[in-house]
Amino acid sequence: MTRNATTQTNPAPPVAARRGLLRSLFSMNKEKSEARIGLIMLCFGALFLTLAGRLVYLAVASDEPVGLRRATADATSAARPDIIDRNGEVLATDVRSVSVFAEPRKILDKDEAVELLTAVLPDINAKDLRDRFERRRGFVWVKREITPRQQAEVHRLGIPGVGFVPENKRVYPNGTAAAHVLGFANIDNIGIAGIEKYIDQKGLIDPTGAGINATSKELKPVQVSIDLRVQHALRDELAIGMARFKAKAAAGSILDVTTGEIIATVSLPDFDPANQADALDPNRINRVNVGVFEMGSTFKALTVAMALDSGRFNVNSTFDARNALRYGRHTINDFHAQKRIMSVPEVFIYSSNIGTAKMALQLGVDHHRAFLKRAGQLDRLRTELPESAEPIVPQRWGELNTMTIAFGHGLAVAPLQAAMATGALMNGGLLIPPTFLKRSEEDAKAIATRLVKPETSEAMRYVMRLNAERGSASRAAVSGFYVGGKTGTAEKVVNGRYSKTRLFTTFMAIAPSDKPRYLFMTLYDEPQGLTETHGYATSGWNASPTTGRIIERVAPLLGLPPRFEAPDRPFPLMARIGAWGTR
Amino acid sequence: MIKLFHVIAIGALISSATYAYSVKYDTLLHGEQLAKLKLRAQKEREAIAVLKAEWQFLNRPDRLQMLAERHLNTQPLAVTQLVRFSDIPAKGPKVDDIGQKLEALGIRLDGMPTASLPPRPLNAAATPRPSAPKAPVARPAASAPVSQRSAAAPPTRPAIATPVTPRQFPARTAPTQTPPAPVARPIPPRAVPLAAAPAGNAPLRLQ
Repeated sequence: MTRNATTQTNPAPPVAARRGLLRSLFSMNKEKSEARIGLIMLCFGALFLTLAGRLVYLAVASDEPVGLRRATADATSAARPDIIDRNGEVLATDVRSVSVFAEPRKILDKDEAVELLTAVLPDINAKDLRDRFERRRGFVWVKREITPRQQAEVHRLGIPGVGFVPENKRVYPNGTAAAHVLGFANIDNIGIAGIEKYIDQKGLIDPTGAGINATSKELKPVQVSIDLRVQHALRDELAIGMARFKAKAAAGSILDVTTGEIIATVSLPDFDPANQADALDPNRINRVNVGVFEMGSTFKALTVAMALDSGRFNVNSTFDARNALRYGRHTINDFHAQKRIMSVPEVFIYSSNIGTAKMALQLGVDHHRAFLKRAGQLDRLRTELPESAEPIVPQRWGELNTMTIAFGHGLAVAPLQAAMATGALMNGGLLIPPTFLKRSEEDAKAIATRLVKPETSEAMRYVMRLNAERGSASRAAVSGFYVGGKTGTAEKVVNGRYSKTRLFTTFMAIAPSDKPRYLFMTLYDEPQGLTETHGYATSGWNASPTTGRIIERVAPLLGLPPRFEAPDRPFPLMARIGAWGTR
Repeated sequence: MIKLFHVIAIGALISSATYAYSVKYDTLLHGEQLAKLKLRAQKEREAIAVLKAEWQFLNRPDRLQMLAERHLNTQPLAVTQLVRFSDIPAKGPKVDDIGQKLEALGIRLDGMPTASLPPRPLNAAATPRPSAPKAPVARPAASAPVSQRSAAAPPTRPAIATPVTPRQFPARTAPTQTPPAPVARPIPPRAVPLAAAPAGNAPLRLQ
């Protein structure tokens, strides 16, 4: 062996020299055996180095899945954490399912294999499968997520080169409930939309999957702010309302104004996360945070709050609404025209366009825009959900824009954005970014920014309550919860003009008004007038009663205690100032 | 001396080799067991995940609502049916009003059953009734307006609430041989019609 090695290392020495070397290798002479010893040392040295190197390689790389294992690990779906609602109910979870794969190189008779497999799994395209088998790859999928029965049948075929891999399959047991919030994950268990995508972005998944790795760690569930029971009740009531008022779409949200948590949010029509093709239909978008709309009179709350907070007006300030407001060739009228001088609460409850336009105009364009900017109405609102929409802000913001935006036309925002600002006007003046994850009150306080003074907030609560007692929100005023509210009806823009018949109605309610906890928002897109609503399709006839029904149904679930006597001194400041309506 | 040393050294070598060998095989065995247990635990976890998903699928709110609408004769909870715990009036002193009525009628009561009519039938009638805690809405107090609104039994409460509670009245009322309660107390209005009450109430009827 040594000799062979030597001859190889010295391929073509001269014959005489080779003989000398050979002799020196086999010579018994002690002095001349050095070359031999050196060679042996070299051989053993190389051998031990090889062994050591191999050992190091095995020690370092032994955890790597090799061959087929690596191929399947790359292809199988990741393990995702469960999504649970605020009470711990499961909204989305992984279950184990089995997928069939094939190793085309090991299949002996590809045509027979294709024939047998398509007989057992009839929904596979035979030609497609044959093409896949022809590819020079070590691993191809035959079919993902088969039933246990199909697995048994494929197993019984006994085709060499066809095997099974356990995989995670995402299931949404509650169907359509909270579909827009959850989004969905595709067949590789990668989040495509909603909270599922957020989970991927935050790196909360286990990409190796539980498929092969028996010791896959338990992933911590993601708790969202949604309450499943409330979510269902909201969807049910909105679906009833949408059918009754023959609306094109309906949406609603319930916001905890003390924490910014979104307790429930529904946008109809919606989809089932199990049927993902539906989610791409543009009619099924989440209107609460993806659609932008002109919010109509509910925006007047922001204008009134801005006026009161500026210090230039107080609750007893009056505005002349006797005549229509003219600006150039435009005229601004009131829908419920009073034709008289009104105080601030009157402007609010009679929803006077003239009054709010005058408020904004007197404060000036810059003040108005700066306030709306602080209220988060001019920038894209970002939540955990990857979907969001940019508000449509007029490019050249003149006095006319300020006048129309004051009563909710000319600025299109996402409804959730408007709800956030309205919530800030109610909760004592703190603007809290809304969240879809569970959040404590302390955390909310830490990230909140002050939008208005607490006194302004009390005045806003007062006018909201007054509107429920005497104004357009009376149909939402469920007894026992001290509800306050504001209606809003915006005319939709059709071919560049506001249409009188195609309306977008909104309603914002707060309960209880003296110490607000929940904000309820309801939207209808193009509701129709009915005989029982006397042909009216304005918010007070559809969004408002629906909100009333929602509050009545949901308040017990939210733990709001009913009170049958009016609270004692709910608005002390308003009573002291002697605001309109307190006497 | 050297020989002894050799013997000890060889003995130590053999025993250490044996020990190392046994430790190695023990480790292999335990490792295998651990892997098996882990696999089993994983299987159990998967089964739990499937069961949880299935439980939630069966308990999803829209299905529950559909089932309730089809099979239960209840109505949605109204605001007027809600009462805070603190609003419930304190329970008054226990008054045996039937006893008082009987006394007013001149029937003597000394706490002993009359010899001619043994207490059997009533007791017998009372026993099949499960001794569940007393139905909470049996007795609206006239003083509190709030709880009067609550008199309509909310559908969430058990439908077996019947005003007849013979267990409350011991054998001494037996002589009259009539169900005593309807005389004494008003029947609260029901949110659940009688037909919805389970058939388990049937044995209550006194022969």
